[in-house]
Amino acid sequence: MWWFHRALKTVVEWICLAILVGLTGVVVYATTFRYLGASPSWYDEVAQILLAWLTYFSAVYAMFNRQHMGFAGLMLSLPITLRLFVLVLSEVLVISFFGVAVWFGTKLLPFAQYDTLLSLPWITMAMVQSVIPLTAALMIVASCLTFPKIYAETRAGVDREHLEIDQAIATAEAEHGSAERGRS
Amino acid sequence: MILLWTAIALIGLIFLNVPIAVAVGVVAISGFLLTTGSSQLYDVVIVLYTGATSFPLIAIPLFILAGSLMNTSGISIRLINFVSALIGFVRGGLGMVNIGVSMFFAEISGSAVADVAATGTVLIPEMKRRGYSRTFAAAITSSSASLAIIIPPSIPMILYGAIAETSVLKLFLAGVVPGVLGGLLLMVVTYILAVRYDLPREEGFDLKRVGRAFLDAFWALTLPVIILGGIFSGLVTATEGAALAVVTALFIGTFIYRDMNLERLHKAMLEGISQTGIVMLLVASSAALGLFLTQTQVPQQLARSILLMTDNPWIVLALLNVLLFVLGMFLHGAAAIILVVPIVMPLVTAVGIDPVHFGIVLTLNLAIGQQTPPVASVLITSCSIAKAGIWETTRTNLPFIAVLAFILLLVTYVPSVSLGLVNLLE
Repeated sequence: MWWFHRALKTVVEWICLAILVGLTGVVVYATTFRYLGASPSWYDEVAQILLAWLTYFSAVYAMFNRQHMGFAGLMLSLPITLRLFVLVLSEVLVISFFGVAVWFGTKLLPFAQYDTLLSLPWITMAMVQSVIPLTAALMIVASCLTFPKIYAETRAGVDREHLEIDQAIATAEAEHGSAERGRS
Repeated sequence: MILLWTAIALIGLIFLNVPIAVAVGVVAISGFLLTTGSSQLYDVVIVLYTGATSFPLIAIPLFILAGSLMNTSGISIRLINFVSALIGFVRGGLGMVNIGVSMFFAEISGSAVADVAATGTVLIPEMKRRGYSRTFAAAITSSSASLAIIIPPSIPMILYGAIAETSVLKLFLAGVVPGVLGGLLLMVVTYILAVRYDLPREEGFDLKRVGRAFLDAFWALTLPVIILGGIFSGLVTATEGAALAVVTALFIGTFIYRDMNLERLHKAMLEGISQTGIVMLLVASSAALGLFLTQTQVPQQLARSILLMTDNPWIVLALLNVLLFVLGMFLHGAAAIILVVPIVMPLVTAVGIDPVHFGIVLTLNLAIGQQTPPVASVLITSCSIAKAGIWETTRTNLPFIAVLAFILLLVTYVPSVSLGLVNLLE
């Protein structure tokens, strides 16, 4: 199972990197050509689509790392049985929400097949909006794959926000250390 | 009544540790199922997509990426050295440096935690070594870092601009005076406390040292000039300015400071991707809640109910300040903006409050919210670095929170403090 988790996360990571590079490239390209007097007609539409795709794929990436904003304080103060019950309930709600997005998102796609982008008519809205059911399904998978880890952490009373803070501090200290070494 | 049930459901789910982005979506879906039925869930899916396509929001991932690149390019160290040479000779010098660096290194990476970690891990240990108490070091780092969200470029302002359909350029301009004023007042308070506690000065003022530090930090200092100069002069839009920030940060980190390599670039991009996912999923799912609230006319009803009691903008602003202060204690900044703005905007416009003015009031409230536990990631990060207790640090932080509160009241009741520069340049 672990190899599947790692492989899927790596695929999502590279998709996110590609979209981020693409979005930056598109904005830089369009800005440059605006100054040359030839703004690309597809700029607005393509940039917006890339933003939507980046939003959902990067949200999947954040789900793999369990980084989405939440408030764990109250849950962690509960007795262990109740705490684990709340965790499972929260997980069920997460999966249900994305389940709705997969179900209704998939049912919408045949209708979106007849609509296309204005500037690039060979791209249908179904292709563009498929990001919703696709990433919602990935969210469910990411949620299930990371559940054992989050279950163990919740059982041990670990607050993820504190873990992330410790990690950010360690990263910053390592950066400063290597920057100082590089300069000396 | 619908607003009350929506609020109760949302707060309940958030307390159950459901991710806020999902809690918002679950409340929207439940609301539709209970009022209009499942057919509206198709619309929910459509707005989940369109909610993530607002053009001004393109600036967010780009600014976040630029901030991550800056954090990994040795820019923070150079700024600290320069500001230290410039103002370190004053009593309580390192406290001053802390504030000065935050004013240059405004929070733009989207992760307040990463930004505070970048400067705090250098300054806090040094402050402790020079005899500052650990709570003082944590408090001043935390407060000055929060002030940074008022100084452009600022992710909360871009978010607010997109949701309230307000000019990001005007918001950036409106944040300049309150941000600089807040920084100067924090320095005054630091000086008073430094005299009282006999805190040390750093090395004496030496023009040659300042010159050397300036040359070393020159390119880091040009970054805000290029980005803000470009945006304020109208040469580039906020989105284009964000792309410019990415290219410039990458260029400086790779070719001038030579601190950037493929491994660091990869790490910075992944950090940017995570922050983008966290903020943008919340933006997208809040569009679903927005659709539900709009269809049930909740914001309009709220505006009408409050207008029956008062149509005085100053009283409405006072009520909003109380609401935002309480929310800031329990919600992260982005979440507070996304949840509150769509609900209160009809009220704000109905009583004639300028949306740009309200944007700065809102951002200042979020800055204070970052200092007030239990949800106060900036404060918690500073405390972790300083190894100081959160409540103990909060007590030491009170004079600095008072400065932020004073700026908030000043901005709230003297609109020209924020709007003056906007009107001047219009």
